[in-house]
Amino acid sequence: MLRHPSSKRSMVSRGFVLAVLFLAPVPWPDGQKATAQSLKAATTKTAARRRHTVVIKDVKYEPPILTVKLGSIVEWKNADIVAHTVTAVDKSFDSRIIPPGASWKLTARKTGTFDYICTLHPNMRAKLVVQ
Amino acid sequence: MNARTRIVASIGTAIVAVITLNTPAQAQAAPTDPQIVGIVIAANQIDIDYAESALAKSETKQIRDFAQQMVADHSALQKSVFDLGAKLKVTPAESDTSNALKAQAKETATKLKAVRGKAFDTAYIDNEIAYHQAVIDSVNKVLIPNAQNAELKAALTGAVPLFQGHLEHAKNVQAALK
Repeated sequence: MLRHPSSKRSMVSRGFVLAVLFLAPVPWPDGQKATAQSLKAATTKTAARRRHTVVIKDVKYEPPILTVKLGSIVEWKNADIVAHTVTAVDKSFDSRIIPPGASWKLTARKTGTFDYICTLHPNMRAKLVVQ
Repeated sequence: MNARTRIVASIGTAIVAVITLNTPAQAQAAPTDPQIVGIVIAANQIDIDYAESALAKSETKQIRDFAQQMVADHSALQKSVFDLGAKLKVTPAESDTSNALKAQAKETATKLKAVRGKAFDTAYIDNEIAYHQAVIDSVNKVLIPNAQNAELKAALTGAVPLFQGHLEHAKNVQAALK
């Protein structure tokens, strides 16, 4: 059976396309994977930036000055042997009593510099700066 | 000088004299580590006892809240002192100083029993201010310099901010009651 000349050409062109597909690097699936990974890393980094911890120990807040972005969540963890509070001097936030081992979270909804103290041990003073 | 002022003046002077070893009996001997632990245990228990008398007698919220904090804080500190003593194998020892503290505290308790209502509240908080100031002075001037064990020395140093916090809180309560 004689092959039609156009069939041979189309077979060659099909073969060429298949070779290109299988032998050449295919950027499209790997690129999508790279984008997903970058997006996940960026999301994780953003989430990490927006969560902060202040450790209360030895009658001190550490760090004594914390600067965060608006909308961040700050968690105070009481690692001391006695209870403490986190009380803004301007009364804009007040954890009330945080027993040893417990913690308290605040979402920073307002920009500004907030001095705060422990009402039980007023020599404990620190600052929260929200930008 | 009114009765309240006399109570406070006598308490402060006596405690400072006892703890800073300015009485003839103690003038010669600096405390050993076991005696230092014994003094801290006595000092903690004394303030717990004062607080419990306030909780039994006062109806004023700021006084009761403060007294509750003194029970909680000094009990936690007491536990840490016992734990540290066990860890360092230092058995608390009585001394002329710890015995004199206890005797002085007994006298103070008798004077506090003799007053009631606002007079009690005022006498209690005034005593807390004098007592904590005396304890801070004694820890800084006598106990820390004489502590031989480094961990004991560090623990005493670490306790000072807690006593200072109590002192400031007591002053705030005193101001609020005026």
